[in-house]
Amino acid sequence: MSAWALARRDLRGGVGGLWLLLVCLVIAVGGLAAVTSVAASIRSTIDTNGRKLLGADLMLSTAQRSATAEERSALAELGPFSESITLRSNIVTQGGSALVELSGVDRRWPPAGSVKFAAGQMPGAQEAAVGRELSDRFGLRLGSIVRLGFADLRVSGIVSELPAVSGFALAPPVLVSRDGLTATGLVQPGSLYTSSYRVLLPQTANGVEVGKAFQARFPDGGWRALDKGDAAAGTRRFVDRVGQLLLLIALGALGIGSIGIASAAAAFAASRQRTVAVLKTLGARRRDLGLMLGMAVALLAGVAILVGLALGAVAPALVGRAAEGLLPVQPDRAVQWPALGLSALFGLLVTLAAAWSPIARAIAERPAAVLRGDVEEGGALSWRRLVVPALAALAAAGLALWLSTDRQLTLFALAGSLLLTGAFALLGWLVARVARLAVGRGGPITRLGIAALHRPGAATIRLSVALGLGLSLLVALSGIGSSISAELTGTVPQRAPALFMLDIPAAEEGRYRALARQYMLGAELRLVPSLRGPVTAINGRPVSAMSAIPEGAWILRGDRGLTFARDLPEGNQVVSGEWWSANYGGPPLISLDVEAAEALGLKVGDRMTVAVLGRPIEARIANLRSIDWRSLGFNFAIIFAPGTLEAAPYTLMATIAPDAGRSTLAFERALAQGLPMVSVIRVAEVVERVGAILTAMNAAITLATAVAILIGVAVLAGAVAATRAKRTRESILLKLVGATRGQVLRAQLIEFLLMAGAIALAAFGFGALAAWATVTQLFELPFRPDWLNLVALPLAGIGVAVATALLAALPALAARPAAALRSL
Amino acid sequence: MPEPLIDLQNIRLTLGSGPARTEILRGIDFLLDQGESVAILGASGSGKSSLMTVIAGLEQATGGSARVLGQDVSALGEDELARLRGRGIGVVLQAFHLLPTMTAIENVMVPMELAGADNPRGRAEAELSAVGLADRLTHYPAQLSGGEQQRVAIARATAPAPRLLLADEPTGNLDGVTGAGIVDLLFERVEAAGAGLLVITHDPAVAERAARIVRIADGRIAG
Repeated sequence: MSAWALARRDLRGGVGGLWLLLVCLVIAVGGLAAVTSVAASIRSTIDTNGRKLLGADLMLSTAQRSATAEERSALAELGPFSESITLRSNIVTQGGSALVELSGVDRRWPPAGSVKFAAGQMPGAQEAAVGRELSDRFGLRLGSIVRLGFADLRVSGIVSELPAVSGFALAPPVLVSRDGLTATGLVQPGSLYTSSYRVLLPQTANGVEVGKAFQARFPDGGWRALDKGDAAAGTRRFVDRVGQLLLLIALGALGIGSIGIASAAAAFAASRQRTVAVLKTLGARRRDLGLMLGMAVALLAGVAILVGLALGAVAPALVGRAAEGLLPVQPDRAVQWPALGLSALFGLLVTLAAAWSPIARAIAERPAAVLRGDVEEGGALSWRRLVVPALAALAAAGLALWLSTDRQLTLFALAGSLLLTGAFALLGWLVARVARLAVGRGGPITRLGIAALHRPGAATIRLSVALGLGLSLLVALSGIGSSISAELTGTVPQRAPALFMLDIPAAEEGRYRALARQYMLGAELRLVPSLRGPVTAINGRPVSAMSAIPEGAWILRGDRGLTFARDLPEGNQVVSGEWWSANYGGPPLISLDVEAAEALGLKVGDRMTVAVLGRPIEARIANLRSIDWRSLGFNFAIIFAPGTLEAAPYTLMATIAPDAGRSTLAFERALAQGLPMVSVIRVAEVVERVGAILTAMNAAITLATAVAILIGVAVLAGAVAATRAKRTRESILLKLVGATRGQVLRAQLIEFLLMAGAIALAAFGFGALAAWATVTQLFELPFRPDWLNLVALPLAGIGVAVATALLAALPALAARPAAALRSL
Repeated sequence: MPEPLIDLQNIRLTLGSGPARTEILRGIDFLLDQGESVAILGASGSGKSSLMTVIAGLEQATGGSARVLGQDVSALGEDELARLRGRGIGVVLQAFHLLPTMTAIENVMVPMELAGADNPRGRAEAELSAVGLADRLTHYPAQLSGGEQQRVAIARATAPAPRLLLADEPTGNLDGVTGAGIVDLLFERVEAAGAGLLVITHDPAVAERAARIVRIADGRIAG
């Protein structure tokens, strides 16, 4: 007889506890498939629409200048191109003013892809097209008049979609024509603007190679090249990071689910022990019996994985709808087969790792022992039965590492999970041990509750791990989230100035100061020179020749803000080398952020080349500084010594910090009138935007964590249900000797409360410790979590766990005494 | 005249439904007076154990009137029945049914503790000594023999000084010699407590120890 026929007949007797496997796998694989599908669908949109998102095959850009005639002819050799100039500016409307990302574009813009309008069209000479967000905020309609710099422009269109080079933008877009841009008067020597050239390449051309060749041809031009693969790079990085974090949480949930799967397989195997024993006496071979049980598990796992994958398959469409407007790129709504395939593979590997050993043990029992009822609960472990599970677990860990975009983080998470699993297993063991020592203490209700924690078959250790991991994660994430949030909503507004102002012409410094004195008397005003330019070479080696930018070397990415200073800025500290004298006038010197220097392996005396307005300046590193980025003043990674940049056209940046609660509106209005080229950034608005993104991220992460906890609760319910026979027996016997239902319920409550309480306490401790380490060591912020929330979370966890356990125990409490006695 | 401990009139019990519907008790009338010992004797399936579950309030009769210790058990809720058992009725079952996670003394203490009685430990210790288990107080059921477990069950039933003791096949799981010793002990402890005893058995030797024997067959009193 085939094993399949045996399995089919055997399954007529029910699935014997495998429902827990079904629940755990559906939730875990569903969560995993959803996370990987959504990340893959966003990447897929970026990959397939890279050209559209970039608006070209290749985009070459340079800061604070336009291409020279020679560069233009080189661009023309590459293919047809379009020119645009982008800068930040303030738009003034009747409803108020706001910072915008202003682009002056030519008629060919964008050469690839398109601009979509909710209404209207591209702007003419005295017109501007505004983003939908702006039109909603200020009630702008076609024909409304807005002021940009020195020009009053008519709104010609409301933009709903346009090429997104980076992805996330902190300011809404405004498009004007080149003539319109000229009319604004915002582009002046020294203004912080970027000129971008979008090129259409021949089909055979490789954008990356062409970009590199252009950079090599004009090595001092400060050219940055982005090909269609780099489009929406900010979004891609965001998706990679958040996706990686969610993937780790989802894998953690699957790991917790593996405990439920193992419990379910053990319950199933126990329910089939007699059948297996009888079949053995009838001549069935181990292999056939193993296949019989394995097929039942595989069948249920297959169904569960398919349901989980179906959930994952619809996730991109659901997330796309839910996050409309939040994500700069809409997820591709097609089914992400590779993501689903990998999720299924994870599900299968974890099922194999968790279910193998209980099944192998069931078929290894001697039939006589089983029929005599002489089989020990738990039983002895055989290392042979652990080979396959260990290999499957290793394969799952390897797959997680292979998939991750940040191997170090994944390794850290894997090691952390193992450590935490060990810690919670130890806690479970301790709880059982203490319960054993406390035997005989208290009344009968307490004694029964305590005894349940260490009786044979008690799932104290398994439950400790299953519930503890999820709760710790939740506490840690909440601690991290609330500390960052406290920094944003508490410290930032306290420390930060009210306004940042850019593009103040150096020649207008006097007028600017006069306006500040007139409208913001007594406010703290700081002004620093400001230029932009990319780092083009390190110790003579061109950055464009580097195959990859080292981790943490963000100063090599794009243009950097540059300044020059006589004195060491406030909040900075020289950690290596010496600060220059205030009247220094020698060869170019720079002071470099120590973290950037470490990432690049640079030390005092090394050389760095920075292109300023297309002119390369090689400077020696005079000192390294540690920067307190939390000071929220002007913090520059690269500061030049006096005597080098003063001759270049530059603008000033300013911060103004009035007394708390004092309005800056009158000053902003005066600036819009008198110095309209000055861009004003309201710190409160930036904080609000960053806060909104953090809140959305936090919601996604909390949801993923909730999945992990849900699985832990399912494991708990399963463990309670698995001991239903024992609980029924106890409940009936207690009722027989005079216990009321309330007293029986109290005994169960004591058991669950003691266990969940210990787990919650430990989860609070481990979670808070992990949060403290992350916040203070990684983010270098003070640890200021929302303690109430931090305490409430594990308490809520206990509440859910205890309620679930009681619900699972209810059938045992409700059993009719006489009927139950007959079956005892 | 004092009220009888058990007063059953026309008790009927039907279990199951549809084709599985079975009439277990078909109109039982029965009285047990204070301090009296009665054996219900009958073959397997005659309905004697079901009769005991109705008297103990573990099963609700389908018809008739059942008064136990002066209370109409069919009118009591589950918790009130549990209290009635805890304060006035001791039950000994064939399969001992001790709580596996409690020691012998804890098992005996439980009903008194649940009922809030005074000095449960002292009384449990005295009762276990009386059944010959003074040296087994801290043993768990799994560490005791069948006979010892049944002694603990008897001590658990008699320690709260119930007015009525119900015993369902108390020797059914024991060998002959041990069983005989248990029967002696049962009658001795009931006498010491001054309680009424209803013992359910299929063994005429056990039944003969009672003051009165009531035979039951096919759900009816046969004589």
